Amino acid sequence: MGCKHSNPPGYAFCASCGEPLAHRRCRCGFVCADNDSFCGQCGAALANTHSAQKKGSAQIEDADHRFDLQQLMELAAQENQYVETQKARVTQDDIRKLLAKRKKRVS
Amino acid sequence: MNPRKVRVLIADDEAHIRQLIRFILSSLGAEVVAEAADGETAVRLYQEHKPDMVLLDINMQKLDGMEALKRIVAINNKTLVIMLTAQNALDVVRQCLDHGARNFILKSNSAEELDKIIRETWQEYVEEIRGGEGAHGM
Repeated sequence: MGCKHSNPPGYAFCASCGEPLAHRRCRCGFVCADNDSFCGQCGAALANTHSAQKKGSAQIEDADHRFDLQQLMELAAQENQYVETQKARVTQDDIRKLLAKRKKRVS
Repeated sequence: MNPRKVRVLIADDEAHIRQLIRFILSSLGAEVVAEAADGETAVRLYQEHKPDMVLLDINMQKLDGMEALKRIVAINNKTLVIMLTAQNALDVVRQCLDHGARNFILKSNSAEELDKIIRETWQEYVEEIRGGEGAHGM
């Protein structure tokens, strides 16, 4: 980022100069900073996400339809991290927000 | 004419919690028609009394609150079930709401907060239960 503007978490572009910020996206969809280890929204670890995203899931399967075990394990680890976030603890305020979201969705 | 009292079933394995909830609800004008200390009894008492609202704990003997919720909703999906529990895992909250619970109150709130949340929740649903008969005494 050239302008040194300090952008809040979740920003994909600099709010001041419009330049794209170094980021990677978590499984939950949240845009994290490139050097983040954990997602700022759901808490999932981002360590393995980066390499897996770079390679692209399509490349896990080669031309002969054989799977790369190492990459599959990486993906499985990612899935587990995502499942772990489902065990996240919530507060009464989180529940209020969740209920409000559901109501909004229904209406 | 006074509107009818909303009839409530409280299911919690902790007697002091049941006592606290009964006290709060009574002060709001509710009629606590039955109390259960386990899920199985809760479902049986539900069928017996057909209350308008059920306050349901999750960690209970014989039948847990989640299973009791499913059975109660299967009997009458219009029953207003509110979970009142120490379980604060996101997936548990989501599961309960998916299975038909209308709200989720955490026991970890302080007594004052719990009182406030139950009163707010009560006000949110009592009109709906009475079906436009009019509110009273809150």
